Amino acid sequence: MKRTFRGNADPRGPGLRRILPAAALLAAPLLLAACGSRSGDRSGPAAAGAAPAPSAAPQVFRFRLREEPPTVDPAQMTDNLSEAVIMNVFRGLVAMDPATLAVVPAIASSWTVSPDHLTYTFHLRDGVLFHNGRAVEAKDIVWSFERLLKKDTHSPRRWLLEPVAGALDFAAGKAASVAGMTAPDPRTVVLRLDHPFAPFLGMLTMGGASIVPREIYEDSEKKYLRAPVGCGPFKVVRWEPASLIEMAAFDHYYDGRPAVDRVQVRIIENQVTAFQEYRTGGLDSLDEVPDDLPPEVRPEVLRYPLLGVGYIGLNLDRAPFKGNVALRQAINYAVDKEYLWTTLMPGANVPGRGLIPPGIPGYDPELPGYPHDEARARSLLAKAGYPAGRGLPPISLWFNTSGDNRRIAEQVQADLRKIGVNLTLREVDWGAYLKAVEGTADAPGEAQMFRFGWALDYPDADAVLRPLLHSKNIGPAGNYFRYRNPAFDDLVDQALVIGEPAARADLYRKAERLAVMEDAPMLFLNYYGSMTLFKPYVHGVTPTPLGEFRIPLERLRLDKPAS
Amino acid sequence: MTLGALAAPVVGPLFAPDPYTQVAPRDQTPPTPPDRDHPFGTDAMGRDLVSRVLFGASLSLVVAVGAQAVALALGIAIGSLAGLRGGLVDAFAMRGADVLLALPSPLVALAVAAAIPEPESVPVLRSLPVPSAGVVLFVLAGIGWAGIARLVRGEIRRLKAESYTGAARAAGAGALRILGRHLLPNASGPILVAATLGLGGNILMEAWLSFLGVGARPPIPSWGTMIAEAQIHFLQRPWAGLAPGLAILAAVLGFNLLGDALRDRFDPRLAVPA
Repeated sequence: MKRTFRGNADPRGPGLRRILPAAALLAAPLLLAACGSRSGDRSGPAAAGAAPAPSAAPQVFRFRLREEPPTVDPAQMTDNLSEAVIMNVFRGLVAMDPATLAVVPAIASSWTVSPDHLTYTFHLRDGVLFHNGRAVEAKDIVWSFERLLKKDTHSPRRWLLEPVAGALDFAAGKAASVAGMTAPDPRTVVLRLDHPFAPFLGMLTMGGASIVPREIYEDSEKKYLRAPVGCGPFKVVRWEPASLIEMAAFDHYYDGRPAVDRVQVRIIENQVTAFQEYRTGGLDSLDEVPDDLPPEVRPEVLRYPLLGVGYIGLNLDRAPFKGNVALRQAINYAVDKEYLWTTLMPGANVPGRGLIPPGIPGYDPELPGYPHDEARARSLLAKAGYPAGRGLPPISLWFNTSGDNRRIAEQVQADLRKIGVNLTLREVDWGAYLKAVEGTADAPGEAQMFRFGWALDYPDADAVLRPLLHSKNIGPAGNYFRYRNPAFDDLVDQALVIGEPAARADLYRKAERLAVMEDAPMLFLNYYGSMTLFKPYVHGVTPTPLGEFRIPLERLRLDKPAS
Repeated sequence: MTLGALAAPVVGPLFAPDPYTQVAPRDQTPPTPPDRDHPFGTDAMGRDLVSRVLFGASLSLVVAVGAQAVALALGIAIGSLAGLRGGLVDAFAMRGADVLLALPSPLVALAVAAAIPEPESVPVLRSLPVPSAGVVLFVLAGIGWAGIARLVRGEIRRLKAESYTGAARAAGAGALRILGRHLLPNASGPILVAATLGLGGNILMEAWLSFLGVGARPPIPSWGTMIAEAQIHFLQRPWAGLAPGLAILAAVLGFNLLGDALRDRFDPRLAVPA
């Protein structure tokens, strides 16, 4: 099953924060191998530009994709397979540091933001070349952004630029140009927003906002769909459909030529075949780690956090959770998250304490969460009016048929049974599940408890707190818990219009604490993680919460034993 | 063997730990291997497999026997009616049975069970202790009656031609009395044999349906569900699947042997030494 972390549906409706329901995370066969592994020696950013081992043979890095990327046109990209090629071939005005998730210079070497947080002025770097040898100029940025917005591009990522003044008018064909986008000189681009929107810069780092050369992308035959041209560290040199995509290091990459000479993307659908290829040396890296890993391969597993959280939602508009914080806290304390993720299902997921996953600004390492405490759970249950579970109405825990959902549900059931709370498990297919969980804006869904996960669409606390818990999003928009807290709404709204990153992070920490510790609208389970195999001779691997295909290939160095 | 299976649900609770309690050490990833306290080891959730298998036995047997009882009642009623009345009634009943027998029963069972994703909300099933297993019971009964009806009808038609039936009728006995006093008792041998042999099939089918996820819901132990849960561990930790697998083998074999023995007893033609 395809795991799409960037959201897998078409965002609809007005507004910018169309964070797509993280169906992907639920359906994702989360790779929970029963193995222990060390990842320490490979973490940390590599010394970029370290001299490659002097050798005549070209350095070739080979990794695997489950399927051919659905597209290599940045404007059409919504999934992580496409990202595997696009993020290596293209660059935008700004980029995201894969390790720190900070916004860093790319085509723009610097930028300024006006004091009212409305005007962004980007100064382009000198000597950035497209793969066809032409220098990138301000007009390329304007043209690429207009292309993304244009109606006939049908881009699912148009919303990246919708905060720009006049973008919607342009997209609707009511204006010949975007009012808020200008290029005063060939080295400067100015973007003016309608209203302050703090995540904007981060959104410009997404693949959809890549800069493309007009002379290639105006092609009516769309040859660029097989021969993409950007200004990134690698250029596509060979494409054998359903088998191989080969990229070569771009000699004139603005940040220095990558150490590896070539990258081969091998398309191997079958997981077992792929693992055999990896073992026999046909691959240097593998994205899917088999469950029962042979002991000698275990040291090659790299584990790292992803931008996602897992939880069991509680329906605050249905009995018995309605208006009963003590009960919600009781079940939080009753479930042993530590046992669940370290012993029962050891893998890449780690016990969760809250909603903002590690890695993004606003993550709170001090958040206490609800450590397993049976005694406390019992006393809270009594305080909730159900001593030892007496008097509780029947409670159903819903989950969709997928991956480890059933085991997670069974473990929660077993833990809650210990304090006297008996759950009925309801395992249904995805359609029936959503129907029971979502409800409508006015009426709650049938499910009292539901297993869910959320993948952040962009690395910003807003991408998890707002869709899940803002009272404006009650119902299918994402707030399935039907959580209403004006104080929480205020904090999240304030954070959106503040430009100063530290102050924003502070507001998000406050909001998260409020929701998690005071209101507990869900049973917090885990922060998602991922696992990838790398051969020991691959150096400079930067694990990133953006996903396995965002590990920057330009930082890799190989020191393959001579064969 | 059959006695063992029948006794399991009775004696199980006496000495086995609770099938829902996680007994595996908290620092060891289940399924944990067999040891002195847990001779079959634990399952993927760290629950004792001896208890799970014993409790699974009760579910399997209740479903298998219950389904067979319902099938028997239906089969005898329909078969007798068809056999006694003949004509259109007979034609309808038997063609119905033929249609049912012509369909691949595992697929029918799967389709029906899958069509009721929410047994908890179906009126009749809701009142059962385990609604999800109730679906399986009724599905198996709904398939099982056809074979029995056909058998009963054949026996009735054969016995109707016997002289003692004629004598009873001449003595003024009503149809029901003849059926109850003369026909059914004489047909009971083959019916019993068929019913017993069907039990093994029912156990297998129940396990198969739960294996595919349409039977009993977790955490209720069902042999099929247990095997399904043990699947991913099959190569490295086989005991989790072995215990319920052996239990199914023993139970089905037991009922088949019992059926064979009954046949030997009731069918004089087979009993004649060669």
